[in-house]
Amino acid sequence: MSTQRMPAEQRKRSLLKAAERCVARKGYYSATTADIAAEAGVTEPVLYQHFRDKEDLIECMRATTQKEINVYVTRRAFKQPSPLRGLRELAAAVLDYTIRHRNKMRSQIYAIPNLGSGGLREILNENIKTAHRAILFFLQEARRLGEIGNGVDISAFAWSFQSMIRLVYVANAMDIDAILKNRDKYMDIIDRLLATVSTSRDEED
Amino acid sequence: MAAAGPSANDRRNQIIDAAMTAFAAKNYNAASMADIAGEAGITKRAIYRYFPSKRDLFYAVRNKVYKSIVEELWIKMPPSDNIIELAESLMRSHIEFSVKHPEMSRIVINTISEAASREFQANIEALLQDRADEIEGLIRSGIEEGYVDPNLDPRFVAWMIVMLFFVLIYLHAGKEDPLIPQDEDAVAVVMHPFLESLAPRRAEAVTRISSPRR
Repeated sequence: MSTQRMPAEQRKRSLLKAAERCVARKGYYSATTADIAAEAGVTEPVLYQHFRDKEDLIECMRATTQKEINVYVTRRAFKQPSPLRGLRELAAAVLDYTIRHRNKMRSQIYAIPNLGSGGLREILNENIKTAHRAILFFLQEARRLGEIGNGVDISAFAWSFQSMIRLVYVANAMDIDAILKNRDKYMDIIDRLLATVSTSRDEED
Repeated sequence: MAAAGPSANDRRNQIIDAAMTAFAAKNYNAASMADIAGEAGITKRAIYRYFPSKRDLFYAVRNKVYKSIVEELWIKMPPSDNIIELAESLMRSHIEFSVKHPEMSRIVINTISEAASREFQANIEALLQDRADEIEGLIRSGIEEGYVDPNLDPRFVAWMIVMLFFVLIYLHAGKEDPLIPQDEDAVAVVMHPFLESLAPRRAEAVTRISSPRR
């Protein structure tokens, strides 16, 4: 409990960390700004210097994590030798990130109850549409290179693929270890899914 | 109205319905007991006679939602025991349900968000466990009959399917602005690849993707 003054950016980051821990422990509704301030070792008024209210804090936490995960996931996906491999890596990276940062990833889902209040809903929609475009990009590349057949409806497949990724978010929020502790089985399902559109099964060695 | 007044059970249900409207319109935090009392047309005091806290009331609402889902979707399942067909029709009816009952689907989403708290957790797990058990049984018979790959772990796939139902409700919770194209066959189109992938595997196609090309 240092009473020392911290630079604003650092203080903000420590409050975000504290929020992650409180929300993960107590749930979105039960974690109060008082809990979060105490966890960060400051008084509530200090918290309010950095964030308008709890919603603002949680949204900031969500947006920070989203940026981080986007960078992590795309970096891994683009390192792959082929678009279909890239897509596979995308799913693997989301799962790995989730396993490593379970509390952080919960905040992605905890923002949703504010669905009714326009703003967040729009952000989430935008988020999902952005993911759709990213998946679509890999699929289009895969088609261009002949990795997937011409008969495949790639937009529909992109939704299907995204559902498999979003499932990890939900499983994490609900603590369904059956999914999170079985990486190999999850990746096996992803591989099977990709195999349904891949042309490689038609290739002869 | 009647001199005897509504029975305790009716009154309880009336409060639950009012709370559902309030929780869906705002959210758990923002909906106050006063809002709920106003919606039900009774006093706050009267609510506390039935529910000691807002949290208890929310549990009751959530249980009602899950019961409705089980009754509307699972009990009226089509008379097929082919898991592929069943999962597809269940997914379709989950979406129909979330369109028909937007307030209930909001409660479902709220439930996901509250899952971190331990009391919720234990409660939800029990509810979902039953669903996962049912689906697991169906997958096992699919394996026996040869249309589901025996290399799959039935338990794992069952959980994947249960989680997908939530994803569908999540993606469809905003009826005004559907994310996935919402025509009749969207589910079939979107979910088909997953269900198709459960068929006995073409091992080579799968390994070709999972191992880097030379």
